[in-house]
Amino acid sequence: MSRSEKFTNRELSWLDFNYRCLSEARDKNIPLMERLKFLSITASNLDEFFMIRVASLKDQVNAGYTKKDIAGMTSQEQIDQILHVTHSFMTTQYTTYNRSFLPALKKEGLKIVTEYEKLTPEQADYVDTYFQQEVFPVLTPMAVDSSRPFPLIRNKSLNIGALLMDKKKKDTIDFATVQVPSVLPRIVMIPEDDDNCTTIILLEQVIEKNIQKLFMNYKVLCATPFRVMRNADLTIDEDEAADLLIEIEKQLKKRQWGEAIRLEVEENIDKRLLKTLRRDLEIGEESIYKINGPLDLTFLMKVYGMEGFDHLKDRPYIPQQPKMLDPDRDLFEQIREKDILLFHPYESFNPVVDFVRKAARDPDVLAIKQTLYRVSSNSPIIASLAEAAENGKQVSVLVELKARFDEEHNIVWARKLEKAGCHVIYGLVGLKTHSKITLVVRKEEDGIRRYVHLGTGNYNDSTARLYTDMGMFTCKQQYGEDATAVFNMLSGYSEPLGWNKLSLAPLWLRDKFLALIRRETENADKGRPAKIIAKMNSLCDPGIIEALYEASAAGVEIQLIVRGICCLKAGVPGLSETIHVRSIVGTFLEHARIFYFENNGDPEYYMGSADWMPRNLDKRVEILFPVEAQELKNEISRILTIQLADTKKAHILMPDGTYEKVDQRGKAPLNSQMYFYEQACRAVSDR
Amino acid sequence: MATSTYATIDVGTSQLSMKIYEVSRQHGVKELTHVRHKLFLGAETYSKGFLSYQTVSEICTTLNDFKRIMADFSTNSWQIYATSGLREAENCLVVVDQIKIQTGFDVKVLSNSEACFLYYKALALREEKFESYIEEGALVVNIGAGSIQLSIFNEGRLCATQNLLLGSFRIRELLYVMQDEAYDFNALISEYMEKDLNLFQKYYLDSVKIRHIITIGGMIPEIYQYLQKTDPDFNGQISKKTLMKKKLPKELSGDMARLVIPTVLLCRKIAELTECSQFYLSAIDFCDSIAADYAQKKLKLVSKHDFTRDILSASENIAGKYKVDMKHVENVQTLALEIFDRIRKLHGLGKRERLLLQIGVILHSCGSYINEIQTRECSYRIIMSTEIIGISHKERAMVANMVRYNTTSIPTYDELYEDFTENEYITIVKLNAILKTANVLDKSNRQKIKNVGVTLKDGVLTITAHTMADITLEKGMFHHGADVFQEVFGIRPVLRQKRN
Repeated sequence: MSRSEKFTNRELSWLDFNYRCLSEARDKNIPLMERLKFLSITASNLDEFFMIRVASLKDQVNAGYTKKDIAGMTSQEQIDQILHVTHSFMTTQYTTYNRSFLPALKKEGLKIVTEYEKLTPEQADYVDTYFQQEVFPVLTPMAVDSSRPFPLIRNKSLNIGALLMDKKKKDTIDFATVQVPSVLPRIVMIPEDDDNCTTIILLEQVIEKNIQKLFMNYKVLCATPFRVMRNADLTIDEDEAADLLIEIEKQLKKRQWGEAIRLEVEENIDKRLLKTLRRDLEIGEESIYKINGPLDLTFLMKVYGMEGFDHLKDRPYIPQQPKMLDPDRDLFEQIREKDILLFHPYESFNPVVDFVRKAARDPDVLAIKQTLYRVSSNSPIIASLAEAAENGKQVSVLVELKARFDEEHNIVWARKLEKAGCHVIYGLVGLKTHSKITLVVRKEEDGIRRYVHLGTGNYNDSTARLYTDMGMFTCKQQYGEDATAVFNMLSGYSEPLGWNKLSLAPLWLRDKFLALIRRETENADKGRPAKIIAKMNSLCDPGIIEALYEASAAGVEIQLIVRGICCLKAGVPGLSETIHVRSIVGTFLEHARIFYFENNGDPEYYMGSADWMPRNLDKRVEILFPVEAQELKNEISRILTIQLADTKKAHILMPDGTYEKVDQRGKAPLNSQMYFYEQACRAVSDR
Repeated sequence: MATSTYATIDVGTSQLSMKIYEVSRQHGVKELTHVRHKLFLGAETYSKGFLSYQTVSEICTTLNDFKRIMADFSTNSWQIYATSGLREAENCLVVVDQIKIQTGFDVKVLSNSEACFLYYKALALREEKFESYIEEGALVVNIGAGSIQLSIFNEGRLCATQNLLLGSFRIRELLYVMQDEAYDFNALISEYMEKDLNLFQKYYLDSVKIRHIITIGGMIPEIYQYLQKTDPDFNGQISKKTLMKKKLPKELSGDMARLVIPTVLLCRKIAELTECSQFYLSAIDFCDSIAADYAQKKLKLVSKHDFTRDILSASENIAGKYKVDMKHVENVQTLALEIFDRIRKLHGLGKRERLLLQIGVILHSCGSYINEIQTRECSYRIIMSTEIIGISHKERAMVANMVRYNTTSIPTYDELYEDFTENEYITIVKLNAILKTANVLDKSNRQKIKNVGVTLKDGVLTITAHTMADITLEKGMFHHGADVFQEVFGIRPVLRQKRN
């Protein structure tokens, strides 16, 4: 077997993941509105994928880069394959939307207008009035002629393109475009018709219907929505940047005008209009997607949010009080007694927010240090950090300005924190700080004590309700020392001479993982018990994969729970016979990174922020931490066991590279996410 | 004493380093954090001779950052020391002043001997086996950036100490320019070290059986950590065999590797000098040494080891090298200390000055090895060019001046004000007066007066010499010393003989 045959291409593996999300949208056992949400997610996922991954491949092609990836594909071959798969994927998306969702929604009393021509006179009047009063004032139509060049179409914006004929000079046809304003809601509720259904129309249709009013001296020959996706990868020369914050601000502006890499148009677009768009956007035929339905399905998330359809949704999941914490007792006191494990979103993220809030107000707290990658819009953590600084605490915050698509957001609150008196660090040149760590230094009666929170997910109270993540509180001295060293390092100081507990990327983490895997291989070689269970978001690091193949060859039992990309081939005779890979895609986004190593009968458990991806191991600051308390180990073991037994939401990676749902015959149905939620509820009611 | 936090900052040759400790009577000294910022002061000082404005600015920025980290732990006491990287810069005083202005920190610039002494203190306080090692015979190798200090201990005390210009940074700076030309670069480094080390062996090692070699300072903590990383059970002990074979740490890159290589080669070379089979690497760094000294004073810790004895041993060792008449020294020392102790209320000096007096006595006639006629001047020059472990350069200069004017009048402050503060000058004058008085009591070098009684009554200091010998010479010469004594202390000493 050649080397490239041992790996799956990462982009195609990602597209497979999006297919798994789409399968949730098509699963009739799931409430309709939840399925809608999944379809919306697949659309936003795909947008991001094009803006970053496809854009990057295109850059490689443009730069003449011909080196093959680990799966033996050139950049151009990858693009060709991606475009091919994406066309098919989008066909499935819209088939699902048109054939399944629209009739099902209508049946449930919600009608989405597909053709404005079919509105009742009353509805048409309503739409026209809405246009006149709400929409028209915020529109900026732009015509193109010899004196006015083709306008810059913003990335991801929805626009309506039109061909116009001057009523006086009938021999010339001009192109015009108008951006569908993002300040207005995409869905507009209009009066019901005879079906007594709640009826909504999309904003672009409202504009389309009234487009003639925008070009009074012209005749509108045709008008169709279109959407452009651009290269949105930032290219920041950190070494040269005098001020990283200002440099990123500059680059963010450029993101709107990157190279066009995908053009979406409605299926029935006028050929002349399409030709104009193609020419002026400089985009190839293969990158044009003619869509049988509304562009940009992310509006479905707004439909999900409409009132009155709760019966079509899952019951709301309310994060429960963590079972290892007593809400009536002091948090610091409880951490002093023992390490505490949190399992979100089944267990509430509030203790983490409270940890920072309490620290901000506690007179004994001297300092708070935290890394922030993505936070919510009105983050209570940010507010507490600012409050802490105002209360005279030493507050150091590492704000990762390069967190993709959160750059702008992060700049805003980095400034806010600085203004409040926090010491804001922007991280290390060339590395993204992805680790999730909080340190609280407290002066207690018997001396300085450091409280540490280490997590697998971001300090984001909003996503903590949707993502499955783990967190651990500890005040063990060795973790505290390492946490201090992490922040010293992030401030630009040399790494300590040695670490007690934590392993950091990019310095030591790869070696640590490889050493742990190889130890299992050696144990298997010697006939000792050897087993690896690893749960992560993505697995595509060639070095780690090869080490896993070697472990498999030695007979190590390897169970991998990989939600997204997986470049490893599982269960292939002679290569990975003992490796089993499953992907769980369910209500919550699987996000925790957990690692188990049998270690000859003395199992070691680790958690952390890193996936087994080159970017995590080489280009990010990541933390891996051991979980040592037996009670916590038992809990993690239970979590892994349940996930490995999931029969409802698990997809198994087959030796041929495809994913299949678990064959449920003879197995008790088990949805691991629902099981964990029920367990968390039960723990509270049993208290 | 409740728990307090304390910081030490080492403005070192290759990095600025800060450690914050928690100090309490219950738990002793516990390290809270260690921050390091690479800054190769030594490279600039050794090559250009001074530190540039940019470097000074970087030092200040870093120290201000350190201050912020100190606040994280509510640190309200600290000590900042600098060694050769700053000390040897021509603009050292300007830099110290700039640091004060820009950061508020007072940096104390230590001499090599002071730094070494702090290391020894830390070794004695923190390394459990130190006492047993030095009892059995140990060579302590303190590897600095500019020089190394080799100290031989036997039967629990310092027997000999020697400073050699073989510091890891110095070797790097001197020899790395030849790296490309050298066929075997490691052999070149070894060759460079060989001459000095062989001389050391010839002078000192042949007479003492070295059973333990303890290495400390410079890159040793880095090597320690590296070895611990590869072997979690490593506790500092490394056999000679392993040391000679061990591959150099490949994880250490660039400048760090350049510093580590000379250190490892030096250790190997030293291992070859003795038959000792065990090497001990100490993880103690300079910050730890400063902290150990602080804790000893703050917590009033009593060390089993007598450091004053070491300083005196080192001085005696120097005296021995210049064939000083040790009987005369012992006699004068007894007399001088008796006078010093009896007139404590008159001179108002403390233990440290008493120690300086002792060193002065031990070395006051070392110059006669060079020139009998200009003994004092030669003694002065020998002292000024010799590293005396445990005392600062300023103290060394005080001792040297005390000795220089042993037989002549001490110059006025106007002549010495550039080198000493008024207080320091007064101390020199007082010690000089006592030395003169005591020295004259053994003018014949025959130790006729073994002990004296000193009484102070009605403004007269009576020194009663208990001896049967004829002390006409001493009595005759006593007047000159008495004049100086009266001038300094305002009382006239009178020498009486009691025959018993």
